[in-house]
Amino acid sequence: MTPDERKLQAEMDDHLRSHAADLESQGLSPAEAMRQARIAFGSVEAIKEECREQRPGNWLFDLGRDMHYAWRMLRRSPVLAATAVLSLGLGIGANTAIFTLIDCLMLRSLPVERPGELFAVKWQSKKHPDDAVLRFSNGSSSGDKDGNVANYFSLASYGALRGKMQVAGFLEANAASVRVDGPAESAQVQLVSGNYFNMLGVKAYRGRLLLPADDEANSAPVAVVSHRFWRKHQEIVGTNIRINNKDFQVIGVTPPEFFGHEIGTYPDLEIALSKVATMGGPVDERLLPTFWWVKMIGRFPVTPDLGPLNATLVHSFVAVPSSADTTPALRLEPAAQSLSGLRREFSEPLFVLMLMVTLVLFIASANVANLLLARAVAREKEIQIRLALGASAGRLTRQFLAEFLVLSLLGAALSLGIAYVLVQAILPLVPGEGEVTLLDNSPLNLRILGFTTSVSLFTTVLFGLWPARQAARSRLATGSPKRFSGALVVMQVAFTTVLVLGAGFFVQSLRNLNDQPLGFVRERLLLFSVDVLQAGVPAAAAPAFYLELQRRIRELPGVSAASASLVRPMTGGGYYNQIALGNNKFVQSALHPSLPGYQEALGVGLRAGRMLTASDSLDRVVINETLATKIFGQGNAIGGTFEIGGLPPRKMVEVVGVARNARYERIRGEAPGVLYRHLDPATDFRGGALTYVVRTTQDPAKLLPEIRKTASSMNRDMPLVDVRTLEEQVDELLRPERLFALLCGGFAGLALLLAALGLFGVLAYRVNRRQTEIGIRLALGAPRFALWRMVLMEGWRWLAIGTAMGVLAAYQGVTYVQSFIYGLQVAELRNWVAPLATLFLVGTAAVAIPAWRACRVDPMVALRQD
Amino acid sequence: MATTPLLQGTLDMLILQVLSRDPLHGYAISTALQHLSREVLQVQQGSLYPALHRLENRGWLSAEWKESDQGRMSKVYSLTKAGKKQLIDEAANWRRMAAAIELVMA
Repeated sequence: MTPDERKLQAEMDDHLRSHAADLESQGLSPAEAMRQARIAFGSVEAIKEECREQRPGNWLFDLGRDMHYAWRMLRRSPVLAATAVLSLGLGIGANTAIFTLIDCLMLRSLPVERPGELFAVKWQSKKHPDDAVLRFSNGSSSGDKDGNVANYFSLASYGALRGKMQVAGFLEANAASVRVDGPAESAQVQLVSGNYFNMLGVKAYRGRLLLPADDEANSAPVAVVSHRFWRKHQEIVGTNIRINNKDFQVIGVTPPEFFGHEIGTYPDLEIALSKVATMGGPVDERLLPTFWWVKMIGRFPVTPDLGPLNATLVHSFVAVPSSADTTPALRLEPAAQSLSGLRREFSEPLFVLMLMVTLVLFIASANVANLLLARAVAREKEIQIRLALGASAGRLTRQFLAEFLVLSLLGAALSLGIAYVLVQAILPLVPGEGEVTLLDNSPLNLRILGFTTSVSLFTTVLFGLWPARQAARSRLATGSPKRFSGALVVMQVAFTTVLVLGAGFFVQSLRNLNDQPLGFVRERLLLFSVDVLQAGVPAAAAPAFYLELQRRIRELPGVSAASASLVRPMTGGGYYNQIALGNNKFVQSALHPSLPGYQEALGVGLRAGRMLTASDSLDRVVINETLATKIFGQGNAIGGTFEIGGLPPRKMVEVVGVARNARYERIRGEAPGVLYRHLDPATDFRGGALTYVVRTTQDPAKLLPEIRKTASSMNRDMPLVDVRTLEEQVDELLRPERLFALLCGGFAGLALLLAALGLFGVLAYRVNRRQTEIGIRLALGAPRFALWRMVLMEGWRWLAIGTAMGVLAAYQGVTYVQSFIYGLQVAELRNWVAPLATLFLVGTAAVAIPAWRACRVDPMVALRQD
Repeated sequence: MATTPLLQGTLDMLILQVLSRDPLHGYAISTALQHLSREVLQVQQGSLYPALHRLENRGWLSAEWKESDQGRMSKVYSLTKAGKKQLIDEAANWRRMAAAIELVMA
């Protein structure tokens, strides 16, 4: 006994003896006096326990003891414990997995010094500046509430601004042909200014990184490689490599944790901005003040005064903006949030997923609460004895809570494993380089651990407190726990309804996208890109080279057609130009500048006129139905003429054919107007790859080695980039949707399973408890069918109430969800039938089993129990 | 005479009040409460001792083990400085409340 305990006992003894002494002085015998004193005092143990609870800091010690006790109790019912831990593990695991994704895509800061000071430098104007002011751009501009926001600068404006603020310029990573020792491979090359690494605060892992001197106009060409690239080529530092057929010396390696300044991208190599000629493209034009292509990232410990900087920016435009609305002003966005397109694309779906997994966790926790409640009922006698022996209700409550806590912490531990497996499965499906971003860093960090722990604590309090209090007060015999478990089951069904409905919509939406006709033949079409300029072929020789490659591929056995275009179909991006209709009216058209026979190879049908042939001159074009209607209305398009180009000089062309509508860059939305024309040697061979489309008569994969051999026989420095079948290309395009539908479907399935278990468990338990009653009914002549119906109706009632609540809740979210859905009106109730039918079938199966068991009760056996 | 259960929350104040005269041990506090209230107030030991321990933990009471006349060791409680201040606060509160209730009931 501890000194505290001895003192407590002494105080109680003292009280009893003092009272007894008083009573003796009133004439009672010593024994009787002591007896009376004890009666008056009540339970010594209970009072001692209450006093112990007043001690400060006691709860921590108690918690340890309670958890130890809970652990022992749970080990005595391993099946229950395992079920509960697995339930919670799955529920928390799903949460941890989605949170890990959120963490690595949204919350993780950039792997640089003081990332909070970094800002993406952009500019904005209320209206898009006149074409006279901003002539060519190579970057993205997007409209938002502030008007037009653009992320690119001209070399001149970058030069003017860099002297006045701490910024680094860059050209984001592009594919380039890189030869280290073996054959050329395709790698991502980013161009950065000389101060880039120094400003970010990145230190070399090997050798040195780029310095301002490396960015001088006539400096020696040097390159820095990423840690990932270095792992493939360990001897690379100090050697010469060829990037797009130009010599570069590798001077250093970036550290393992550095993946660039944008989550979702991961350049393999970095070279100086002054070496922009290496990347191909219209080099001379990049130097013009009218060509906008440099992006900037800046470090601003304090917010800079943008006023004078804006004046500098405006002066770097070739013409004075026509009005205040088109006057550009600088805009700073926190780099961590603004640079990554991946973040923008995924923030909403991730939010929906987080909501879904929260519901899954609730469903799982409700199961555990019901399990523990049921067990507490079974332990009611024990509880009453403990209360009688002096256990306080508060103390018992905490003990029950400790059981939930132990289960939930075990579940959390299990969940880390489950989440790890889930994340490994999900990340490869994330577009971009999300997986690299995560896998090169540790997948587990304090934020994730903290999240998981708080989720399990939260669950414990939310779902454990009420049952624990009821159990501790021994109120289980009354109706409220029964209602409570019923309410939990109804809630489970309601949440599951929402999840199953949502998953049904998303899966159907994906199916609709997949089944959407493309307007050309999807099967047996191989795509790959090549860039002969990067392989060292001079621009003047490029057209002939591409034609020769086309000829050689066409001659391969098993190839039925082959052609190439500047635009790869179904990538989510394209090449657009304005078509002038006169009177200052323009329509926008997507372009397919291509080798002869492109329409045939793709399998785009013809509506009227004829397709382009090799002998057609450059001013002959084929347009699709949409574009024909936009330009010529209902009139005849064949033989019609119009001008291509937003600004003069424009180019007059004549229509020789109208093609059927086909998808161009994406499946969603209207099919755009598309113009097919021949490649123009004067403008189309300044950079950028051509994508070949090869129609085969057999499995395209079997032809690939032959095609590779053909290509390298023409130039061994020319890698085939992004080799895919068209089906794979569409899969790639739909990757976010597929990932989303997969996760939603998986979580809905999990929810359905857990809710069915909950429904089954609670009903089965009740049938068990009511065996005696059922036995009596049977003995008194109730038909077995009536008992079957009785249990079935109880289950169905929960199912019906829960489903109704779920449907009502889901209906509230219809408009929000519609934006994610393709080819399906969410508000149309007939689309709700299939998911609800699934739910009803699974629910009924879960209800039918206990009902069946109820009517199989043997009255004699049931009545002999207890 | 019929005994009345204590009003919720008044036990702490009553204990402080009783101890403001003399340091007492637990049993003596309960008999003092009974006597002072002319047998109307009956304190359950089940709440008296936890209350004493609570007040001691809050620093309003201090306790000392002393040998009593019969040679037993008794835990004798006395009011601390903080306890005196607390009593003044609670008593003022109580008077305000009682007066208000009286106004309503009159």
